[in-house]
Amino acid sequence: MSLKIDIEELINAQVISQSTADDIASYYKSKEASSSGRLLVIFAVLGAILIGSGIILILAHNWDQMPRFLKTIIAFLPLIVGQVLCGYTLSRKSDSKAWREGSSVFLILTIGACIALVSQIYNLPGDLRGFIRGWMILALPIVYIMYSRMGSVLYVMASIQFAILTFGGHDFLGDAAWYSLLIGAVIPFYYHLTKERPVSNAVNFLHWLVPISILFGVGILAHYNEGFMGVTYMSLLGLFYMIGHRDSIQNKGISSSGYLIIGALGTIGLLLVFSFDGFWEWNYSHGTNDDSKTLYAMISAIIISLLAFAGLIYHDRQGTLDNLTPVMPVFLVFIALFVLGKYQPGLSQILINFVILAIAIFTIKSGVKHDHLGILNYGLIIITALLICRFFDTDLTFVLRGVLFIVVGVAFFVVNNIILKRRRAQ
Amino acid sequence: MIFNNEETISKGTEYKFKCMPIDPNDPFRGKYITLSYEVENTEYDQTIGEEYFSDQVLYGTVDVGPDGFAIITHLYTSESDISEDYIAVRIVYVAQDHLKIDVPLDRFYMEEALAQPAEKLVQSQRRDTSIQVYALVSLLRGNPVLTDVYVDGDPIAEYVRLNQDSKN
Repeated sequence: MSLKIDIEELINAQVISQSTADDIASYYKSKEASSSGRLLVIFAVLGAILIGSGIILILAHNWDQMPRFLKTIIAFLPLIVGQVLCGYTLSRKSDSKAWREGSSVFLILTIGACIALVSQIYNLPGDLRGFIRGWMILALPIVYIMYSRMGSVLYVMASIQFAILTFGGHDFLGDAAWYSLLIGAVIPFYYHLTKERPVSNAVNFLHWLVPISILFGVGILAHYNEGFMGVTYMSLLGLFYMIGHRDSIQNKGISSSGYLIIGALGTIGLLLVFSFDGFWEWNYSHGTNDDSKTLYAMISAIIISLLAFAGLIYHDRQGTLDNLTPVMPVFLVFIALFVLGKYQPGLSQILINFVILAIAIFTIKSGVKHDHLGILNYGLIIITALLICRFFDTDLTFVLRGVLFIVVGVAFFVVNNIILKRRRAQ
Repeated sequence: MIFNNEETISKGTEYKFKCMPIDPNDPFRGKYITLSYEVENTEYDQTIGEEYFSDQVLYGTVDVGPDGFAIITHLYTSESDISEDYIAVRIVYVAQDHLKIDVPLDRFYMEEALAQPAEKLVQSQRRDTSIQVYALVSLLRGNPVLTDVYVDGDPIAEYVRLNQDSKN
């Protein structure tokens, strides 16, 4: 209503012509239509999730009063309904996003319900891991056939659950193979989605969920092999950071910055962990021996490091180092320090502290250069975190620690003030 | 799988496995009681010449003991030469001269209101050795199906309801 009044006012004041006014009005009308369409999809998916969850909860009540054949028929009923709905969607409502997403999410949830009920009816043994795996295998075709974005989000969430459930298992090789197959199977869909709709809710969710899933998935190999996992994780986090810096993902808001934020925070976090001397002693007493199981962790460390190195070459394909940020080559430095740490752990620990300090200084410098308060303060926070860590494990006097904290606190005020004054002057 | 299980229930041989229930929960599949079997407390001799390791799957031939309950008479590494009823088990640990096994039929799903009372009731009557708790398992060609758990001759759900009614 207010837009209509404003447009009339602008026409009367001869600021815009009638045809321009018509164009403006039709533009805002189309925006309304797409936002109401999006709302419908959201409600359809929510409705499907609630219905599916309700069915699962009811099924968990245990229907031991019914005869077995009836329970088996009822177990398949929601699944049949889901398949009919999906079939109807494909044949009659293929253009409707609400139908696609709603019916596919419903079918995925009913698959789980059916497996759960049959397990109940026949008291089948089997752990939650096997249940999730079977559910994922049966849900995967639905993601592709129905082109279901929310289906892919649910699938990746299940992969995180699967990875967590495998921790500490005896068959870690088999679990790692299964995890790789399961997550690998959905990557083509994810990639196609990022090309087709690079800015959408589902893609934003996946930009967070996929790296989180891979972080947990790599952890499957950590059992008995903690020694090499530092290198594996540092390279993986570096790779995530570089993916997050790609033009197609960068500068599209925090909601789509999963790779960047996880990579950046994870790298700093891991460096801070390795800045403690106790961790170096622990690291080399776990897994870095001649045990054959360590071989698999070593292979994963090498493969992921090579991928990260390829990412680094890609970012610096012009050979000028201009596209590289301080965090990108950190994994290479870490590999060198990791090897050094086997012979001189004390030296590696000290150098790690300098690496963190260097990243912080470069980050502050970048914040000042780009006039970005967020980046600048992030650099100061890294220094603060480093100080807090050293607070606990060094023999510095309380006075010196206090002075260092005051210096950083003053730096917060001074540097922020300089930036704000500069902005006001401009 | 459903047809195999139905065929086992209708045509298989029923065995009573003595057991003791514990009560956990599965968020997706409902309330169940975990069963631990007396045959799991037995130490089994290793066959000379065979190599064993933890988590290995073995095949135990099943027979009826003198007390009418199932016993595992022998453990084989392969199911191909077995002519009697048998069940797949998993090695829990390998000691110097014996093995400890785990029977995979460790879950019996119950109505959630009955599962915990079932466990408490059976635990409280453990000392009374005249009360027998056993799982009724149908076996056919190595496929086991757990059909019910009995306490003192009654299905466990019925036993719990009767005890709850008598208390009220």
